Amino acid sequence: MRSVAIIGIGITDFGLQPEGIVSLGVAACRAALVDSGVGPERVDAFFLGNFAGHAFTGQNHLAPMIAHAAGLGPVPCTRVEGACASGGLAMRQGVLAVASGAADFVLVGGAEKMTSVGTSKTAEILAAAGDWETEGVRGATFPALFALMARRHMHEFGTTREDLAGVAVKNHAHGALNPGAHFREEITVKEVLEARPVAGLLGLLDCSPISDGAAAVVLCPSEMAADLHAAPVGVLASAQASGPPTLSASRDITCLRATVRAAEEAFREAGLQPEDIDMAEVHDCFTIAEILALEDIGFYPRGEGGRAAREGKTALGGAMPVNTSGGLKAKGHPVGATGVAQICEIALQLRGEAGARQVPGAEIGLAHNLGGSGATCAVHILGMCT
Amino acid sequence: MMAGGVTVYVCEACTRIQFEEQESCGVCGSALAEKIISGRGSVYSFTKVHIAPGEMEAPYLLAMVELEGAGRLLARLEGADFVAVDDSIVFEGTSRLGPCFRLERITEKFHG
Repeated sequence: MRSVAIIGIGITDFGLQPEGIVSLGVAACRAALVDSGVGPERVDAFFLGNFAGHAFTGQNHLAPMIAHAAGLGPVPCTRVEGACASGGLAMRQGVLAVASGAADFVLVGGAEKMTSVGTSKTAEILAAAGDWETEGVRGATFPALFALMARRHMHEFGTTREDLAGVAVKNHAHGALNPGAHFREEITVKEVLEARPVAGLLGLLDCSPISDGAAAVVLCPSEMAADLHAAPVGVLASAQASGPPTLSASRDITCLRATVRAAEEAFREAGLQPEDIDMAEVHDCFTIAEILALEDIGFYPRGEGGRAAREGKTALGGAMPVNTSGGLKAKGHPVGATGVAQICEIALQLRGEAGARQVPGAEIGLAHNLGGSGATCAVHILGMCT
Repeated sequence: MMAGGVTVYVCEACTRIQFEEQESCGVCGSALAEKIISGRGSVYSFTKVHIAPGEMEAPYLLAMVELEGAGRLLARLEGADFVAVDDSIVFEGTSRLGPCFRLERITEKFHG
């Protein structure tokens, strides 16, 4: 297998965007191609992460549509769907295509347009990522499923409501430094606690927003990368795993086994340990999800993830900053784009181009992208090409 | 709840608990094991849902319940505003919203 590098990144602003989903996808793809210096005619394959194009916008078959508008030739264009991990899965398919030798230049995109429908309809569309028969029809929205995990985590480990709020406060502070973030305002613990309730302990400020947006990266073999880009970023590991599709089938709902497995595989592939990571983008669709991710990846012992944000360990300036982009929580969560946007943030940080939110001297970063309530997980580890 | 217990059908492959008799698991197609259980159990976790999907009416209580002799499932809890982890629950019946449970302490009070 060949070593793979990222030579271009592109991302649209996240939030309530006037453009349609094709335009958003094209904008991110063009930006990534311009950054790479590789023309669209040289791209050998295109993978697109998109969760629910049809349900949100009436449009399916988005991969060739975006590719055509971006000026790609008659190359294979494939949509990849893995709920909220669609982007991470598309990234992994791109990495595999280059690593295997099937393609030299691969464009990976992720796009979602969510503000085209109302909140209840969005909850219904997202709930379809869970098991419809045993969860969806009973009224288990995604905030509800993560609220069940939060309640159990508190029961078993003494995690507090303030620990959850601390994640939101930190990620909003990071988002305030990201010009492309959906939310750019700092918030307080008090505001999180007093926000409108959504499900159980989780209020509106514990939930990632409903956003539009797109992101893209250009991949090529590492051996070609140095001649093409001043600062290529290496893909040190690309791992994916699956877990129980429902909470009922999980022996322990405070531990997502797909994350545990994908992270183990990624660390093995990269020959690294959790303590080698300088910064991470983790899937904080809800505040509790960041706490679970920190534990499941191995950054914190079981039950201790709640103290990370509270003690400032995961804030900019802390021991290992998490979600410097603002995370899903503040940067926004256009579902299919999220996994690719995480890769963009880490590449930006490793290149030293993250501006006000730069992690000084960051050399190795990890991206964790979760689908459903833990049925799918993708973990990537990136490091500067030497 | 009927005296003598509740009949459930537990999928031998995916562990789903069904309350209606079927030839095979409605989701994964595997064989079902018929079991008669007490219908009693306890709350493993819970949440009050304030924003409902689609046309459903909120708020409502959802719980992960641990059923004696059958395993865990997600279901509506009716007739209670407040609940805690480990509270005892009892099977009430099924509807288009799936199986439904009540807190046992309230059931006992209701029956005097």
